[in-house]
Amino acid sequence: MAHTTKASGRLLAHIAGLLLVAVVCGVAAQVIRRDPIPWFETWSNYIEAKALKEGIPLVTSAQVLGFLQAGTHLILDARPAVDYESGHIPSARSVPYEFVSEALMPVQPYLTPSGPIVTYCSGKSCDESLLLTQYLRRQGFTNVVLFAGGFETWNAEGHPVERGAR
Amino acid sequence: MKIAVILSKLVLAAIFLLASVPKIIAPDEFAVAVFRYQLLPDAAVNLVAIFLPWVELVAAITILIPRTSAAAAAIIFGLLAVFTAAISIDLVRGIDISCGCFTLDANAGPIGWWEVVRDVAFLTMAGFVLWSGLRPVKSPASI
Repeated sequence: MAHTTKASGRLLAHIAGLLLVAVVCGVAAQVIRRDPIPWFETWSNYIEAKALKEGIPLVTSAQVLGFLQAGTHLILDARPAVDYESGHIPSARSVPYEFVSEALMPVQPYLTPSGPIVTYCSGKSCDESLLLTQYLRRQGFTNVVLFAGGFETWNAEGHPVERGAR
Repeated sequence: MKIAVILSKLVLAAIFLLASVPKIIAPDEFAVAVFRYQLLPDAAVNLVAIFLPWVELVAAITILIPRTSAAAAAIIFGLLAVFTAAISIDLVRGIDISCGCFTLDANAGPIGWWEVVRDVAFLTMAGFVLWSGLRPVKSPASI
């Protein structure tokens, strides 16, 4: 009995010691690191959080590449036109959210209520793609998915990029 | 018996070492992986991303040291229990995310029941190492 109590006490002390070492390492890494992450972050502002909350399906760059190769989805770039022209996902159409109703006009012939659509903007900190997705859903387009990684992720992963206006 | 304990320690050390390194290198990406589970309040996401990989690394190293192996096995057991529960909950909720276990690539395949089976196998190993470390050693006089 005494042995068990002593062994349990020693085990708990060792566990506490190891966890303390891990905490010290974590703090040290944050201090030393050139690009530490914030200790706390408001994730509810994050584009994915908002999309998930609204039941908007999220897709990855690999899935977008698959859509592109299969030619199944209409890809909409929600960034300002100048960003689109400097580089965009191949075959994507420019629909800058700041002029959404006007910008959707040239794309109308390609839109069908249940046709699959992907939206994206510059990266994880932009929200034009989310706003465009919400807008399209309100207009009755039911099959809209969001590529939250956006052009930054696409470009960083070395996928093909098209330049200029379409 | 002794060989099984050594093998279990080696497997767990390797697994947790492999799991911790990418997370330590890219805490920002790991934070996104943690966030995607949709299980933690906002305030806890980055703290988990900062400290969890170090807990994994410390446990991976110290499970190989006889004096601390039982404590490390207990920590690994606890971590695996939490991971198994988190993956199972998200599978039941139908949340389609990548595991974030050994790679932080969002394009890695989505979680499935295979991850749960794998974690339960590791959980068993950790329990076995812990049990063997806590077992009272019989003195020759008591045999």
